[in-house]
Parts: sequence; structure tokens; C-alpha cells
Amino acid sequence: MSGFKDIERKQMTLGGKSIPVAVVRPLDRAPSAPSVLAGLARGMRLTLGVFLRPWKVVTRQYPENRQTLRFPPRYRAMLTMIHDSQGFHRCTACKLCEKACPNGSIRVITRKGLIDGVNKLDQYIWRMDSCMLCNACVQACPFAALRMTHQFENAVYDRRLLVFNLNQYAGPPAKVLSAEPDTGRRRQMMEPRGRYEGPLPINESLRPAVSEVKDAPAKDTPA
Amino acid sequence: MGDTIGTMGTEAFEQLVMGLEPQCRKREQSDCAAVDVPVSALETLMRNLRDEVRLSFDMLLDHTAIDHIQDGRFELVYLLYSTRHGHHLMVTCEIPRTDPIAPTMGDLWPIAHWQEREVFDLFGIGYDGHLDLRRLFLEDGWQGYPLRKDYTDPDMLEPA
Amino acid sequence: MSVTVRTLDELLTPPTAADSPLSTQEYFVNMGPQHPIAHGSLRIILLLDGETIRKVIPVPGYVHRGIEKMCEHMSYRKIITLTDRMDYLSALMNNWVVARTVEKAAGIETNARIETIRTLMAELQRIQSHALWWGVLGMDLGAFTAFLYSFRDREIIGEIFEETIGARLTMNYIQPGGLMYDILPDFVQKVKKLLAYVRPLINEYDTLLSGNAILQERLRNIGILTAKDAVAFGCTGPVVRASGVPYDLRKLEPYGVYDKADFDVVVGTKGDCWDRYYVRMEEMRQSIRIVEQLIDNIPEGPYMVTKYNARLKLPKGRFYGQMETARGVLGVFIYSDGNGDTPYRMHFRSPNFNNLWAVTQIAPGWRIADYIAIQSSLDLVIPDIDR
Repeated sequence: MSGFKDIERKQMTLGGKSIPVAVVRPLDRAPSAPSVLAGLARGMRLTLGVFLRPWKVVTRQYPENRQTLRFPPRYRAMLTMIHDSQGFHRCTACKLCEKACPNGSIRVITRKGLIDGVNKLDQYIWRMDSCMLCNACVQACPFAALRMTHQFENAVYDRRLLVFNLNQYAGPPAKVLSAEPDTGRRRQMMEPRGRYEGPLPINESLRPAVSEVKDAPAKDTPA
Repeated sequence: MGDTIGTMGTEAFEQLVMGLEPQCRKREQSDCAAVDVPVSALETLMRNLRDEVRLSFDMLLDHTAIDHIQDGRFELVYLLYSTRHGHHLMVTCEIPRTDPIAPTMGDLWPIAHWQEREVFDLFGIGYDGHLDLRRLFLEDGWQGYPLRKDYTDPDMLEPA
Repeated sequence: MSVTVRTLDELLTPPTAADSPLSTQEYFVNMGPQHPIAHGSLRIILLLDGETIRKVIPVPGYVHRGIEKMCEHMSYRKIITLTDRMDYLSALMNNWVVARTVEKAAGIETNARIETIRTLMAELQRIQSHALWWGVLGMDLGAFTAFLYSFRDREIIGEIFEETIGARLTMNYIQPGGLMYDILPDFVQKVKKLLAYVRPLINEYDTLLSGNAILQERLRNIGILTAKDAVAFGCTGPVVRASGVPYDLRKLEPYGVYDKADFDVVVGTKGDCWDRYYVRMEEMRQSIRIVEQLIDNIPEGPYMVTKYNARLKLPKGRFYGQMETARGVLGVFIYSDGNGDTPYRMHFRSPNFNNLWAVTQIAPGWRIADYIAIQSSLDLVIPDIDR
């Protein structure tokens, strides 16, 4: 070896502190011809060794290995609302996830309950096109109603198809529904919700027209 | 943070800095040693801070600005570090919003050239004596200065 | 006082033959904004005389997203997600510096478990980041094998992150008041297995690339940055350390549990590209040392000390916190007006922004091919410059 691995240990002072340092040896001279060849040969031997031992290759043959692809449980991809075996979700439409979302990818629309008149979840709209999978909504949810699933292949030809309605029904959460023994009343409280069918792009409704921005009084007027 | 010289406390350290420049005031509401200086004395103070042996601030870690729109002024913030003594100092300087011009620090610390260009680009603060005052991130024909609080853009989405 | 504002066009007036000596003529060449060595979109305008560089004009801004402006409308928890997107190779360290500054300002005390896990994760990411840089430097200088080898090992470290955090690149893991998730029960065992795997690899990197005479000759004595210039240009991280200044916040202002670990600050002597190269190689070994010392004693405790939905209110004032990322000192300046949980002004002192301008000092006089080595050895991540 040409000696570049030799590390000198000593103390140096900076900012009034004594700091243990490892000094890297400078390369002062050009390597001699034999060592040039030796260095190249060592590198060649390493790559050749990997070439001759293909079982050590760690490459995963995606997408051929789709069937055997496994992700760790915490892997974050597509957001879903958890529905239990009876099809009940746990969302109370408290909107904490909407507040926690850094870029406004979540909109929780509520409506008055059909029977008791209390605010219930109507639509849980999640915009995957702007979501950055930061997990803030899952962390913010006090009822553990949300989960990040492992479905990561979500490419579509039109980004408007990336707006999802996560709840399967509009209505109260599982806690309220399971306390209700009457299945008829229960069915009355739940109104099915399918895929998102609202206006697209949905931010248009939130966004003030250009003229309004100009006419609006300045938030902070200079003194 | 190691903002003191040896056993000297933050207070005494600030006193030492203020002794260099009589127009200096202690800057309240800061988590490290900080002084406030009028713009007329900024250049001499900074030169002294760099050249005074007991201080020898040889590194300009950061330079930025704050837009105090309600008071009609910009606040320039300089963060200094000394590799000899290991202390930090925050120097602030207030300039009027109507005429935002400050002296350049490019002669003292070369990195100030580009830090000042960034502040010029985003706040529109002019630096007197800067040799190459250009937009840094935005293109040359850009209208307005985005980090000012009154900046509006027709394509801006209002925060929810 | 008067201020003259210039434009880029003024700078780029083509030199005429009369400006140049002899029969040569200087000319401008655009490198980028789409150039393989920029690792992002960075436009470099070179004023050349033949192949010799006379002047370097970096033009950043192609990835400018206005993160500082966005921060003014976001709560401190949301800002963490933006910091992932600055220096994405040290995302955890970027998270940490904001979390730590906010904790310090809001008076939140974390526990030893949180700090130990943060330190471990940061060091693992430093190894990952340096490994990627090593491969990319090899590729820039024409050795494609290095790139494959480094990505192989980088992904294996990434699997630890994926299991613990759920993401490989933009993690949003270290948050004000704690961590997103606790570590898994088999974390310690997996990290030990990883260390056993990674330790011989650094020697393998040495065999493959460091011992290669072609690489040595392309880095040796090229682009010398003196200690005085490095400090004056505000360079930090391996760039300033390679010039012989042991400026490392892990030692100078220990945060996390770095004071419990025994490690050396790696410094160079000359400040040429080789020093910057080998300082990073040795830093990987030091990071492995730190992880080895800390991995066995992770204290018990909760992984989050605040409620997630609680509003983080900062008192009125100016707060500055800084930390050593893989590329240098990342500083966060927060000015809070005391109302609500959004900052009035937030500024990031990014390491790459300050390191970039060193090229204007060290590149003139070298050839274009040397410029590749110089910029690669500075290890720039462009989104961190532009923010």
C-alpha cells in the first residue's frame, strides 16, 4: 500500500479547546510505476472476485419479484382509513390530521348526522398528488383511524386520478355504531361513499380569484 | 453554546464588545450574546470585531435579515464565530424599510459577498460597496423581493 | 451611499481578442444546469482560456423552492418535513437541528434515550451519505464501478432506516420533543450486523478507488484550499477540516450524546482534493467507532416527551442553533414574534451554500477536468444551496 492509510493521532487546539484529531497523510509524491500496476491489479481482483461469486449479488429483480416483495411494517406508502371487519371506521372528523398536514393534502368534510344532528364525517379527501408521505396525519390521529399501507405502485396517466375518498361510508365512527344494537338504525346512519367524485382540481374552490387577491386589504400595512 | 471567552460570562463579553463601539446596545430577546448597532457604526464595529485580538471573529457564519414591517424597518443579522477563542456573537443592525442600504462586509469576510447577494435577492437590501450585487436565486428580471412580508404574486396560494 | 445592481448578462459580455494576450481568446462555457457532476441543477459558467479556467461564476437557483418563505406559514412540526428536502442526504441531521433549536427555545427537555437514538441515526446517515459521495466521486472521475458498490452498501444502511422509520430518504423522523417511532426490539442486533458488514467495506473502498493511481493523480495537489481561505469563506465540515482546521461541532459544542463517545476529528494538512477525499473516508471509520460505542447502551425511556398535537409556542426572540451534518454546519435562525406556533422568520444557514463559493477561489488556474474533481470533492447537494 502506498501508505495513505497511515493516520497520525494527536491533539489540536481550536476555539480554546483541545481536540483529539486524526491527521490524514498527504499524498506528496506520484506513485511509482510498480505500485501503479499493483494498485490497479488489486482493484481488478476485487471486482473479478465479485464477478465470480454471483450469489453475493444483492440486486433485487424488481419488477419480476413483485410476488415476493416484502416491506417492513412501518413502510410508508398509500394512506388508508382503517375499516374493521364490520366495515366501520374510527374517524370522528376531528380534523386534527387536516391541521397537521404540511401541504394541505387532506380535506375532511363534515355534515350533520342524519339522526342525532351531531357533526359526522362526510368525505375524507386525500390528495395523493401532493402528499409527501410524512406520516403527520397518522401521528396526529388520536383514534388511530389512519394507516400507511405498502401499496407503492400508484402511477396513473392523469394526476386528477390521484384524489381519493378514503372513507367507505359517511357517518359516525365504530364506537357509536357498535353501541347501536338496532341494525336498521345503524344502516340509516351510514351512507355509502365510493371513489372521489367531487370537483377537480379541488384546490380551485379554496383558491381566491386573482382579482380578489389584489383588492384584498394588505395584511400588514407599513407604518 | 460556547459564546463566552473562557470564564467570562455572556454579560461581560457583551460589555467588552460594547466597549469597542459606544453606539452599541445589548440586543434583548436573543439566546446568545448579541449586540445591536446603528448602521453608521456597523462597518467600524465589524472591522474591530475581526481585528481585535481578544475577539478575532474570523468566520462569518451567517448573514440574514428580518422584515419588521409593522415598525417599517429591516433588521440585519450577522452571526460571527471565532476559531481562535470559540465564541459566537450575534450582531444586529436596523435600517429603514424605505431606504434599505447597508455597507458591505465583503472586504472583511469574502463569504459576505454571496450571503449579501442572497439577502439582496430576497429582501431587496442594497449593499454599498458591493462589487457584484446581482440576483442570486431568482432571475434578473424578477419583480419584487419574496421574503418581504408585503410580497404578493398572482400565482401565490393563500395559506389556509 | 449608492448601490449598483448588476445583471448576469453584464458579466457575460464575450471577451474580444483585444482583451486577451497573444493570439488566444477567452470564452465562456456553461456547465449545467443539467450536468452529471452537479448532482442536481447547478449552473456553472466558466471563463476559459483554452482549457484553463480563468473565472468561475456559479449561478444557483434552479431548485429554489422558497423554503424560508414557506416556513413562515407553517408550524414547527410541519417545518421538519421541509428540512428533509434541503440536504436530502443528511435528512435526519436536518430534522434534528430544527427539532433541537425549537426544543431549546420552547424549553422542552428530552431524555437520554431520545438523544442516543438521534445520535446513532445521525451517524448511520453520515456513513450512508459519505458512502454515496464516494461512489459519485468515482463516477464523476470515470470509475463507474465505485458508484455501484457504494449504492449497494448505501441501500443496506437504508434498510435499517426503512424498518425503523418507514422511509429511506425523506424521513421526518426526528421531531420537536422526540422521535416519530421508537426503535424496534431487533434494532441493536441489526445495527451490529450492519457494522460488521460495513467495517471491511471501507477497506474495500480503499482497495478499489483510493489505491488507484489514476484517482490519486487526479486528486493529488489539485484545488488547494488554504486554512485561512476556508475559514474566511465560511466553509465547514470535511472541506474546512481537510484544510487542517479541526472545526467539528460534535467536539466543540457537543450535542446529543457525542460527549459520551470517544472519537477523533479527522483533519487533513494541505487542503487539496485528496485531503478532502480521504478525510471523508476516515470519517466513515470514525462514525462506525461512534456507533459501536453507543449501540450497546441505549437507555430506557419514552421516545416522545411532548404530545404530538400540542401547540409548540416559542417565546418572542431570536434563536440560533447549529449542528454538524455530513457536509458541514447547518444553522437554523428562528425569529419568533411570540404569537402562535409559526416562526416570523426562519433562515437556514446551509453548509453547501457556503462551501460552494470556495470554488471561485480554488478553481481558477486549473483545467476543466480538474474542476470536476474540485467540485466533486466539495460534495455539494444542490437543493441545500438553493433551499
